[in-house]
Amino acid sequence: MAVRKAAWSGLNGLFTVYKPSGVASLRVRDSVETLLLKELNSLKQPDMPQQVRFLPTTVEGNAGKELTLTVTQLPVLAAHPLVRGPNFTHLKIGVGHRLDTKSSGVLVLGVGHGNKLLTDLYDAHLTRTYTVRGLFGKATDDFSDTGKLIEKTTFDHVTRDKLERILAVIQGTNHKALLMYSKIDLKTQEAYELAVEGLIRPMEKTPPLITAIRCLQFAPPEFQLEIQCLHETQKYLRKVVHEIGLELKSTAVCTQVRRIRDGFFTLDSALLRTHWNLRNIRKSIQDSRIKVQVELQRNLGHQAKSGERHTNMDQVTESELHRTEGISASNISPYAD
Amino acid sequence: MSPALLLRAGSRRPLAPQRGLRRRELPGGALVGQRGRPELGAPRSPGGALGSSRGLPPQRGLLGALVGLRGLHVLGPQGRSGGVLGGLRGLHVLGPQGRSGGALVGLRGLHVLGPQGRSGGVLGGLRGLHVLGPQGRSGGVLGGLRGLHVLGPQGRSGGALVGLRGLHVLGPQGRSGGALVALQELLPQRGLLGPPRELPLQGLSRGFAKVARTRSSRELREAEDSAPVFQYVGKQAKRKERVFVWGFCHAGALGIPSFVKPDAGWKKSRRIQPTPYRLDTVEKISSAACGYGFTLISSKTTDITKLWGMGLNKDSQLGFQRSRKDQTKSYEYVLEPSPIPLPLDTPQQTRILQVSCGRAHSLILTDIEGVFSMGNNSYGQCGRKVIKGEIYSESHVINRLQEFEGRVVQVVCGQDHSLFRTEKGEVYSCGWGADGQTGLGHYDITSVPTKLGGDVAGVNIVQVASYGDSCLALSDEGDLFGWGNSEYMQLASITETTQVNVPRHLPFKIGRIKDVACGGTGNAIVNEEGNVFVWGYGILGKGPNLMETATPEMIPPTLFGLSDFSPDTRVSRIRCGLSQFAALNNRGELFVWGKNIRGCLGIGRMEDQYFPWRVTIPGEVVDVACGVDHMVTLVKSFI
Repeated sequence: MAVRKAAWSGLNGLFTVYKPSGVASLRVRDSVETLLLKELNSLKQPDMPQQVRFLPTTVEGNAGKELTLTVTQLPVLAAHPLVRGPNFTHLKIGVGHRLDTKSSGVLVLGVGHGNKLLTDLYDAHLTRTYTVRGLFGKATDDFSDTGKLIEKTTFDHVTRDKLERILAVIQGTNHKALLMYSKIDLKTQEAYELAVEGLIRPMEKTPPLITAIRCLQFAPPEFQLEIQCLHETQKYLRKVVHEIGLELKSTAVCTQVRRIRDGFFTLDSALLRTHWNLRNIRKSIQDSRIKVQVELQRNLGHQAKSGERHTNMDQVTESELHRTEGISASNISPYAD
Repeated sequence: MSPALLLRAGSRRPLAPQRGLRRRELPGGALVGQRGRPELGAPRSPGGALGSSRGLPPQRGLLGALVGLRGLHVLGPQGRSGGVLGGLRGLHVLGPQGRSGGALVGLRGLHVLGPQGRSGGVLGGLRGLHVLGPQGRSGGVLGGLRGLHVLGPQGRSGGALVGLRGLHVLGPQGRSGGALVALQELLPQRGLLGPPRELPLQGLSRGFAKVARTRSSRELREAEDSAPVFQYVGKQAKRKERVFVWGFCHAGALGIPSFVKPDAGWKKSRRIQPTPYRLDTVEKISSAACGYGFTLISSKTTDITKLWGMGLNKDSQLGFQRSRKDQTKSYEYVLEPSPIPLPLDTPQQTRILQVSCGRAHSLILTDIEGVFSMGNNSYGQCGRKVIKGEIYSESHVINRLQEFEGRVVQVVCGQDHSLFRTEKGEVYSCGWGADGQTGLGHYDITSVPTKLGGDVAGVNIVQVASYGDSCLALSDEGDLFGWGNSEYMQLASITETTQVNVPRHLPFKIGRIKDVACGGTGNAIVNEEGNVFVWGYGILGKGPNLMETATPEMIPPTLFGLSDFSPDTRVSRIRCGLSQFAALNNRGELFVWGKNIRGCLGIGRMEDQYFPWRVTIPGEVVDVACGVDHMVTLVKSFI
């Protein structure tokens, strides 16, 4: 039907929403689906088809009432919405990298044919960036401030300098793990060149890896970190905060985990709760269509081209995020021979 | 009443008067209440608890469980009041499910489930106590000293008194809480107990299960506020100095004897320590040097013992190490850091500033008494006359060098030669000179430290470096001078000859140089901006393709930790072993590369490393010393 086609046309692709804290990501997916369906079903329906019926009627004739056939135009009830039900009952919406209930931030959703792109997005093994807020002074069983208290400690000895020292160590050990999991032969010239250029990324499933971490704010007992990571879970990030507390001979819990970037989707393109409607989602899909195509092709095409090699460079995200001229990542063509 | 008094085993703490005490003699030989004085308990029950095998809680109207010393398992009485007295070791006691229960537990390895009664006092013994506080209304939990895990009672009033070390305590969730509660809570049980006319079903036996209680957020908040706060480190805590070693173990150079001679059955001797291992030292080590199979570490203290050596001692490079079996003989291999006695004039005032080790000799620099040398002197490298046919093993000779104009501020050992740098910026050398490494204009051996000339004459030298047969010197203006062996293209930029016996200026345009290091076949420098330049032969650090170069090549700073997230990371120091390089950056990270001879890189793998690789060390690296097949680092803890 024309209506369906017109409605469906804009609804194939990837878009991002801002998941609020306190709500499961699957529930977000359900809400988006319900809202979209409601809007789609409330779209203007075409006029109901009419049919010509010859109905028997009585007519005042000469000899009393006579049975004749009268032409009438009646609507086809089979096409009535109350008979058929709503036009749209189901939308295929998939969730990209999930966020757990307590965290918030960028959540990638795929609708229609975009669900196939979700698999590609997963295979591209792109990094994600989070801002994590922590609180010194206590340790809980689930590493967040709403968990059961295990211990309270002092933290007056913690300074920004000490925190940065610990963060440098975390970054160094994770960088080493990154190189090791990338499974390249370290004795080759190629390995040296990749190591010089910057991020080598493992292109298969590995334990969580932190590619970069730094402190944004420090106001004891609170502090905020920016963590750029790979294959992570939000619980792992809370555990990292807990371990930072232990390393500083104090304790820490995580109060907030917020994803600000998922691959090449940033906060700018994420739709807020009040903007979850058909028009905005269609626009969001449209705007990101080309970028998605280009990036996925670049990341996966490179992988396919190199065959067995499990390394890749997170060039786009780096140049987008940091916009530096110094690091050569953005200058290197992925198809260099 | 101080906790210490209570916890002492022999303390006698009279509790409320008792009635109906029964003494029992147990097969284990423990006579309860041995001192003949019943000290515990009240008839009604009580909970009072006093540690060790004393007294007996009376159980009026109930079964009392009195247990002896070892390995007793007792199921507490299901009565109204119950007291359990636990013996000393390995006691497992299930608190009585009575209304009030006192669990008295002994010393070691006690596991006690607090009574589910209303009031309960649990006194834990000393070690490894796991106590679940009573779920009664009032409960006092007294914990012992070590490794106590105590869950505060969930009663209304609760006090948890805990001991000293490694304690995990959850504060009581009661109304009155406080980590330290005086014994008053425990002793006068009457106030806590309340009248025993309570609902009979309160203490139904449910095994280990507790009655579920939903706790309001206010209760949770109060519990959290009343929890004790632990302090692990004070505001002015000092960072601890540590020493980490790794590499080849069999010569004893790492200083850990169990690597060579295991001291426990389950330990195996290891040939190589592939990752950093902590070396426990008596004093704070300020200088370390690795030679060919031996190590010297020194401290800046004014104590008499300020220098320790370990490893190979066949040429007395570690002095005379008197053997315990035979007083006249010296050890050939020293397996743990052993003090080296120096013939100092003022041993309690002199400080050792720096140590250096060569192939079979070592140099020690002191602040007021000059330079001491020991070890092999076949080429005059110890700065004294070569005695033909001298036997260097088991030798007591430690030579003191004083033929310098001015105070010596740096000593460097090459393979078989020695370099000395004075305050004035002059360089002296002695030892083997066949490659021109003495820089004195000839290729003979020198046995007396002689001043260098050539391009170095008149220049204020601020650093010299050498480890093999070639040498480098750095002036205060950032100029570089080199002499010695040039077979590996170290000086090929200025001369075609393979030996240079006079210091020559190296006109490299690599910025103002801050640190130099000279290895066996390759050289490295760090300039002002923190960039590392390498040249020479071997694994230089730019991948397997760069094996030799006569002019310095820069190693990209991204390999040393420079990134967008840390843009001001710089290399601050560079050191060379015989065929390895080690670089320290300003964040205290250590990067190594080169030939991985017997695991000396410390990266956990045995393969050679062709570009800088970070070594994982639990601390901030302050200094590193590289040898032929082992390395020593001086590290500061993070906090």
